[in-house]
Amino acid sequence: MKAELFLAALLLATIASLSAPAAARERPDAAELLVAALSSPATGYEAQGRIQSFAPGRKPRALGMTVYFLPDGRLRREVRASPRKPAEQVYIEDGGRRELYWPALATAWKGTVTHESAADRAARLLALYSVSVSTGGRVVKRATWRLDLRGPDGVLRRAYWVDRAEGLLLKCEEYRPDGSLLRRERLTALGAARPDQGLFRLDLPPDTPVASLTAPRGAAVPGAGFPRWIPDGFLALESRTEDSGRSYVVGYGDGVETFELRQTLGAKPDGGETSGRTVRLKNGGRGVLGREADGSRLTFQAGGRAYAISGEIPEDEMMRVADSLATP
Amino acid sequence: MTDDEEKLTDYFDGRMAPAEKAAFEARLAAEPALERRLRLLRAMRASLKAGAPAMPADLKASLKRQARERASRPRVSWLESLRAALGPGLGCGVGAAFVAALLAVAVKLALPRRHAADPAAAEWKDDAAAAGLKGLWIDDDGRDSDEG
Repeated sequence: MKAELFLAALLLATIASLSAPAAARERPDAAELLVAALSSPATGYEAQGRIQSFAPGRKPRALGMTVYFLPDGRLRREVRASPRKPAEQVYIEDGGRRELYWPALATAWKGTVTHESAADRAARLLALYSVSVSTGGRVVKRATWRLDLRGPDGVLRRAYWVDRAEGLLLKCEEYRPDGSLLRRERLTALGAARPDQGLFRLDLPPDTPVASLTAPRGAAVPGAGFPRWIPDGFLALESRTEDSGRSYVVGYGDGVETFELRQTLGAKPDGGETSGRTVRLKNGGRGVLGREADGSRLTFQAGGRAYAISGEIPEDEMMRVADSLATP
Repeated sequence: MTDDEEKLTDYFDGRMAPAEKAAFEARLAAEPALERRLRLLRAMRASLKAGAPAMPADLKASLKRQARERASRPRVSWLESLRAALGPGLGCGVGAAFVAALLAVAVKLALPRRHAADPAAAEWKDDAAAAGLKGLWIDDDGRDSDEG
């Protein structure tokens, strides 16, 4: 009888071990997986993808894209309504420069982008959020790990789906401070490729006007600072002064989401909001992260000016904008 | 900013279209003064970036030459020059006005600077890009699937 019981227990243990996925038993370190997900791929890829934007009370909006990656970090992103239609926008990025050509507007935008290593980006995320790893289902037919990044209040702020075999970032979601889904970016088809080097050069038609990617084309106020990095797809769309010329505001947008950079001489923005979470910026200064009705807000001081970044972009992107600010 | 200064900045920042760049490079080859200004701009940017500036040799030589010329002139104090120009009668009144003007400048410099003298100048909107960006996005079912 004892032998039968022992055999039954052994059988159950064997079945349990076989039914558990092998990879789940080797769950990776969350921080290491995050660095891998933010790193350049080991080989070249061509992918189709979709970005979806979600706003309360309206239908989701989406745009399609074709993306080419190279292992050295170069990237070409073509925005198109469908894979068979011509590109409506072409982005080229090499880690140091970002260029956009928009044929319909016959205009190009260029800018020097502050380069950040995957480790730097991961460090910023880990300073802001707690990260956990779990099994993530399949994306573009590949098994994934899911990384959840949560704020100190426990609310999910970002989620990444990372290819188990190669560490490629296949899908990510961003959430508002209240936990509602803000944006989803995912690859919908992925294939190894050796993209032509020429794809990573922007050959503009002669006499194409070139604008700054991050600074407005209006007369900049004396001593104003502009970021060297803004989120993918965003452009400077407007600038204005407020408070009888004391505050200078630049508005950025990507067609569905917006954020503003406000700079005020001396004073604290909007009379001095100080409540919120204190964060450390790259230059050693301190910033305060707070919530607004339509998103988040980061306030900080630099070079005798008070800055406020507010809008619908995630807090870590606000910090990256702040860290890239070229203050006078 | 003059037209040439703007072009120099655009060229230096790589913001020129290929045709415009080629034309500007032809001018640089033909106009040593323009080429020197480009080198000066490069040196200024490098000094802002790296701290210690590497001054172009010809600029250094030019500054030294100017300094030598000044040193060889007879030294006359600015007060003596002013006195000689105004004469003894006017000296006191104009001197007081000069001191008052200096004080006014000092007070102006001590006050915090305002951002923009003309708020309207900073007012700018790229309506075409804003509308174009909106137009890139289409209604979606919000599904999360591999199908594009």
